[in-house]
This record gives sequence, C-alpha cells and structure tokens, in this order.
Amino acid sequence: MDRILIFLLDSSNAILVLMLVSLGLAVIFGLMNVINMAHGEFLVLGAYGVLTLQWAGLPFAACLVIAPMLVALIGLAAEELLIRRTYERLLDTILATWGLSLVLRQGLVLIYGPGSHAVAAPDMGSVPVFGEIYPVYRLVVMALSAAAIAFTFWVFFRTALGLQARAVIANRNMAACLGINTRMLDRLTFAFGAGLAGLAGAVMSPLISVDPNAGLGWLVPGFLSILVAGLGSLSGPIVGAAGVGAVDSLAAAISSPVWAQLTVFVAAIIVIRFFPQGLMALKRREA
Amino acid sequence: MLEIQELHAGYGGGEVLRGLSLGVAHGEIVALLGRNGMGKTTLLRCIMGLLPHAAGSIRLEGQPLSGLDCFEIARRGVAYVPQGREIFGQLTVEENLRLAALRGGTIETGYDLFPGLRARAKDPGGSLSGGQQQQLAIARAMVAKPRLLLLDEPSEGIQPSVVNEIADIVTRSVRSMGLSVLLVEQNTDLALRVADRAVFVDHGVDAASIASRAVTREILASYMEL
Amino acid sequence: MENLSRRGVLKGAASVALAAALPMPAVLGAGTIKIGVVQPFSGGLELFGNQAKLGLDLAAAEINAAGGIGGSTVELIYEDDKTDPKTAVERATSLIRKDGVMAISGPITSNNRDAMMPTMSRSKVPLLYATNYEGGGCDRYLFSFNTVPNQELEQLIPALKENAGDSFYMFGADYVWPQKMFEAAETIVTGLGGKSAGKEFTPWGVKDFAPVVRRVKDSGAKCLLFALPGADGITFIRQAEDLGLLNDVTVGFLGFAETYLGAFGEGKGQNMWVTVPFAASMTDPGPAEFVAKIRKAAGDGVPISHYAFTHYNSLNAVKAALEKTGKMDSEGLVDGLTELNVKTPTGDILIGKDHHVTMNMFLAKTEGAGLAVVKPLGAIAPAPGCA
Repeated sequence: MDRILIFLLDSSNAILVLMLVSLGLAVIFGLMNVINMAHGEFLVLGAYGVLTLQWAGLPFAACLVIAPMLVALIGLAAEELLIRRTYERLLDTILATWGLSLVLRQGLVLIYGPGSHAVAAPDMGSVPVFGEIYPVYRLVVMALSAAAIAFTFWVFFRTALGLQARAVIANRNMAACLGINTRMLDRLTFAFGAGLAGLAGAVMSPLISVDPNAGLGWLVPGFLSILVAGLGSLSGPIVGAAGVGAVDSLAAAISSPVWAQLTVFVAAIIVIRFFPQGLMALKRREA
Repeated sequence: MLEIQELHAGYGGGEVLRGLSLGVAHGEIVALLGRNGMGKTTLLRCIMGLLPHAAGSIRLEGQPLSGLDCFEIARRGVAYVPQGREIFGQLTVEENLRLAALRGGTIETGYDLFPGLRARAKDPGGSLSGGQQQQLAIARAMVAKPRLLLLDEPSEGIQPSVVNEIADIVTRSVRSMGLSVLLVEQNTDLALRVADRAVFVDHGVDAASIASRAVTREILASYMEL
Repeated sequence: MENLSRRGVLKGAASVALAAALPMPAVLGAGTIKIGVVQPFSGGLELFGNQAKLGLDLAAAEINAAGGIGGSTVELIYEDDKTDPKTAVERATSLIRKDGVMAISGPITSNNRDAMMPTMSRSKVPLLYATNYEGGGCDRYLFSFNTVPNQELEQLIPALKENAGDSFYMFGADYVWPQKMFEAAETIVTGLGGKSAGKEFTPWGVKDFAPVVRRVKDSGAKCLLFALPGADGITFIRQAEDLGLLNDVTVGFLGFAETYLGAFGEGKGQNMWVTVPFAASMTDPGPAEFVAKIRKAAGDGVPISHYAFTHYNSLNAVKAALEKTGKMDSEGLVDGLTELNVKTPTGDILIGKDHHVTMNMFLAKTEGAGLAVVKPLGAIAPAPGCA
C-alpha cells in the first residue's frame, strides 16, 4: 500500500510540472493561435533565471518568485518584437517561435556556456511520508505547481481580465467590438504563458541539469498533452497532462523509461486516431 | 452625430462601397435599405473599424474614426449588434453582459431591457433560443451605454411575433435614451415602422434618403426588387 | 567557441620560418599537412567538441613550434558537425575532396562515427577517433585513441565490489555504447562471483527519474553502474541524490569526464567511482605540465578532461607515425600508426595491430570539486572485439 502511495506522490510531482508546461502552451495557443515552439526555452530561461539570481546572492525563495517574472518580461518582448507579426498565419508562428527557440538556446550557450550548471538545492531536509524519507523540496514543487495552476484558473474564470481573455479566445472581433483591447490581452497572455513555463523551469531547477537544451524534454510531452485532450479549453491541458504523465509514470514504474516513452506515444496515437478533436471534445459532445 | 463622406471600401480586390455618404443625427433612427450585396453590412463593419476603408471619412461627433482600432471606436460609444448575433456561446448570459459593462455601465441595464434574461443568467449563451440570443446581443450592446447603435439584421431567423415585441422594446428604449441608430434590416415593413428615415443603398452608393413616412411602394420596388 | 570561425585555421607562423631553414629529407615535402577536424561545436555536445579542440590546438601548436612534421606545418581545419550524422558526413566529404586532408579527427558520437566510416574507407583517409566507445570499430582507416569497455570496467568493478558490495544494478541510455558496456560488465561481474541486481535503459530527454530511482533502491543493489552521458546523467544523479539513493548505492560512473564536475552542485555527486586514462588533478609532472599548458592557452576556468588528453595524443601519434614511415600521405600515416608507440603525458601508449590503444589507466573518485586518483592501474590493453 505504501509503495502505491509513494508511487502516486512521485508521479504527482512529474504530472503537476507537466501540467504547468502544457497550461502555458494552451493559454498561448488558445488566445493567439500561436504554436509556441520556444516554450521549452522559456522553461529553461526560468531555470537560468534562478541560477543567475542565486549567483547574485538572492535567497532561493526570492529567485523562485523573480525568475518567472523575468521570463514573462522576455515573453512580452518576444511577443512585441516577433510573434505579433505572425498572427493568423499558423505555419509562420511555428517557424518564428522555432527560430526564437534557436536564438534563445544559442544565446544561453554564448552567455553561460554549453555545459550543465547546478542550482543549489534549498536545504529543506526530508520528512517521513508513507514509510519513505521524502525530500521536502519535492513536496514544495508540488504545492507551488498546484497553486500556480489554481491561480491560472482563478485569473481566467474569476477576474475581469480572464473574462476578457476568454471572450477574445471565443471571438476576437466581437470582443474588440465590446471595447476590449485585444492587443493588450495578446501581450499579457503571451507573457503569462511564458511566465508559467518560467515557473516550471524555476521550481524544477534544483532537480535537473540546467543546460541550454533542457527544454525539449518537456516541450514534447507538453504538446502531446494538449493534442491528446484537445485545444478547446483550459482544462484540456490539465486532463492531457494528467493522462500523459500518468501513463508515463505508470509504465516507467512497471517496466522501464524506454517502454514508458513508447507506451505514451502509442497511447497518444490511438487517442488522436479515434478522437481527433481530443478527449475533451468527447466529453463536450456527451454533455 | 455620425457623418460619412465619400466612403470607399471592399474586400481583397473588389470594391463594395463606392463613395457612399450618409449622416445620422442625434436621436435619429436611420434604416439602411437595399438589395443583398449592396454594401450595407460592409458599411457597418467600416464604421466599427473591423474593415479599413480605402478613401473617404467617418466622423463621430466631429471626431474622425479613421485609423482607430475597433476597441477604441467601441470605447467612443459605438455599439454593434452584428448579423448572426455573435454572442459568446460558451460564456454565461451574465458574463456576456459583464464584458460590455467593464467600462462603465451596469448589467442591470440589460436585465431591465429584457427581464427574461435574468432567469437564464447562469446558462451559457449558446443554450438560449434564437430570440433570446438576439435579446442578449442587443442587451449586451445597450449595457455599454453607447451613443450610436449599429444593428445588422436583428430580425433574421426569429419568429415574427417575437420580432415585433423585441422591436417595440428596443425602439422605446432607444427613444427614451436619445440614442442614434443605424439599422440594416431585410424586413422593410419593420424597418420603416421604427426608423425616422430610410437610406437606400445601391451598388455601394447612397441612392436616396427619404423620410420613412414618405416611402411609397414604388420607391421600395425600384430599390428592393431585382 | 571564442577562437572558432567556421573555418578556424591554426597556423604557427614561427614554425614555417623554422621549417624553411632546416634541411629536409627528399621524401618529405615542405608545406602543410592538413588534418580535418569534424567535431560537435553546436547541437548539444559542444562541450565535448570544445574538449577535443583544447587537446588538438595544443598538440598542433607544439608540433609546429618544434619544426612541424618533417618540415611541414600542421594545419587543423575545423568543421562543426552540429552533433548530427548527416552533417558529419557532409563535412568529412568536403574536407577530403576540397581540402585534401590527410586524416580527420573526430567525431564524438558513435552515430556520427558509423555514418562517416564508409566515406573514410572509400576515400582511404584515416579517421582518428579519440572518444571512449563500445568497441567493434575495426577498419584499416579507423584508429581509436580512447578506451573501449574492458579498459574502464576491468578494474572498476573489482574495486566497487571490494569497497561497496557485490550486487550491481546497471542503468544507462538506450543506445549501443551503454548496451555493450553492460554486456562486458555482466561478464566481469559474473566472473568475480558478483550478482547482477538489474539492468535497464532510458531514452534521452527524460526529466523524472523517480521510478528508476525507486526500482534501484528496491533491488537492494550496492553498486550502480551508470552509463547515461550528458545532461540527462546529471539530472539523474541530482534526483537520485535528492531521493536518497546515493546513501544506499555507490555509483560507478562510466564515460565520466571532468566536464561533469560542478554540474551536480556544491558538495553533491560525491564518491562516484571512475576509471579514466587521465585526470586533471594528477600531480605527476607529465599530466601537471599538460594541464598547465592548456590552462595557459585557454584560461584557468576551463575543465580539462581525458577528451582533451586523448585528442592531444592522437595528433602527436600522427607526427610520430609520419616520421616513422617518412611517407607524407594517408597510406603512409595508416602504416605508421599501426603498432606504434607514442609518448603521452601519462606514459607511453601503444597503438595495436587492431588500431586500438593500450593505455595507463587510473582508478579515481569524485571528491570535493574534483576527481581524486585512488590508484594508478598501470597499462590496460583494449579488447576492441575485432575478429
């Protein structure tokens, strides 16, 4: 029994971070129809942000707060300088953001070098959980991720800003006809999505190798998550990430990471084959 | 309060408006009449800033609207009820109204106009009947406290009995608030009943401007029949 | 990357002057000996490409300063393979056809090497490969200057067994090098009467290793033979440490290089055992001088690993081989390299008939911010698996 609980705890950790990543992707895609290939790099920037702020002598908790904000600012700049010129041309958004990802990655290589860096892990000790000694920081990662997801939903479903964003997602022109500044919302949303990726990178930074290529390992399952669940809603990526993450963790726990990756891809292909609109579309149809 | 001069606009290569001029006075209801494809909807989209115009000018209270974004035009007091209503189907009735009330105004304006909406406040807009959706679209426009209301085919796809009821409510409200209205409507009887004046649009220009009462069957026939 | 343009060309101007002044044997033509370098300088493995460059640059500078090879200057022509096999083949082809190089140094990955070899054999230009690999690369035109599995494992496994325990879990990346490595390891473990507690592989890019860490813990293994190179390896070690695995098992880190140091975090990643042909922390005069020379050229901050060392050796072997045969072409180089003794900072290496090297090896472990040599293991002959 304890083994199962520990497994659930371990996988919740991976799933919650994946949710953050795919939520950021979905927010950006939903509002702007931009497929953000640079999302992985935004995540990595979050990790590098923590690294840099730590070098500057800031306490870890402050780094966790500031780094995602810096990534959001970078996202804002990227939107203003590059992304907005590609709106309404889906293929161009892919090319533009892919180019952006190369620039960001190479920028990191030039500034920080190609090698791995270590973010000093906050020394929070361990607590006994279900008969295992569990590192407290992992619990913090889960709590922060869950809080950020809840915050995102609160913003989108409980604030005027979120209401306007949902209106823009549903019907951009009509939203503008009601006096909503859609450009401003584009900026804010892109920055917010980038910030979510930055947060994911920041909270994970002590648990991974911080290197310029670290983003890809999240980008792929992130995309898979929103593809599997469908792009129509904000709960899509949550459901998708839960599915992808759970299948991955379960298969990895039962067999090996090689089989896990294979299982995830096969499962995703089957889902997309039979529910091309995603799992969430199925639920909507039944409702 | 609205002055349009020599407006040219179109989609892609084709010009739809070819030098249309038009004025709407304070508190005046103007019906735009004419056959399909003559540029009535195009004109409303131009006023709203959804479609750029190639030449000519649009002024609201003497201020030029040319080059402004749609949201800026909306914030200057132009409200739009588009053809097909375009309510936010996944948002609730109340959320639809709240969106319009974000910049001053209150959703109560909308409920007062159509009290039936209040009972559906928490339902998604998409679940309403056609008539109710039209009520919501009009209520949403009125909540924003506009100075100029653009109505595009408000009677389309709605039962005749409901149409008249809605028309009466809207007319009464508009009159009492002193709003200016530009109405595009296929139902000419309805249009002429509520409007002060009819402007006939033909091939992208204003062909005639006649007080509603003075519009005869012959005039109608000459502009409306093929 | 600082000194590297697309065609970073290195020339020792002084040595050209020197070469002109010296009398030369007739067979040796004056001019330049062009050696192509196909290494990753972008695309993920640039760290290793840069290590190779450190060693090659130093060797070329030294050779040219001492009069070149038989009066000819060594010219290195660098090409970036972007860590991609197709690019590697393109670059190699262009170096052979357009630049007429005598040999090519590189690449890092087995994929790129396998992709390049048909071109090398067909063009009869030798590939000087100085990366540790799985073995089995047996070709007249391939020379390996780094280790094959038995050289890393032969002494490492007994040392782990003695110091940590006799059950071994094996975990690595899902490609040929770890697979061959573990095959060799299983033979050695069984031969020593040890137990294999499990073996598994992972694809690249995995970010959550908790399931693997739990499984290794549950297996009760005392030693973990670890063959997951690069950033993924660092991620695994960080999570294994976080989840308390490193208290239970001792890691035998295969394919270790000093470039990893510092990436685990301060005071982390300690007591991991390795067998290497070279460590930057060695205090003997030879290695110490080698380290000092590279630091002088490239700055104090650079990590210096066995990759710099083996690539350095490979170019010195070219000089020794050409001077041995006196034939300044690719065939002369191949003939000269075979069964050649080459002096290196850690003692002589012997290039065998099968084109792999017998080298002095060292047992070491991570300690503080560096690699501490536990003991020299003496020369270990390669078992490259050539028929």
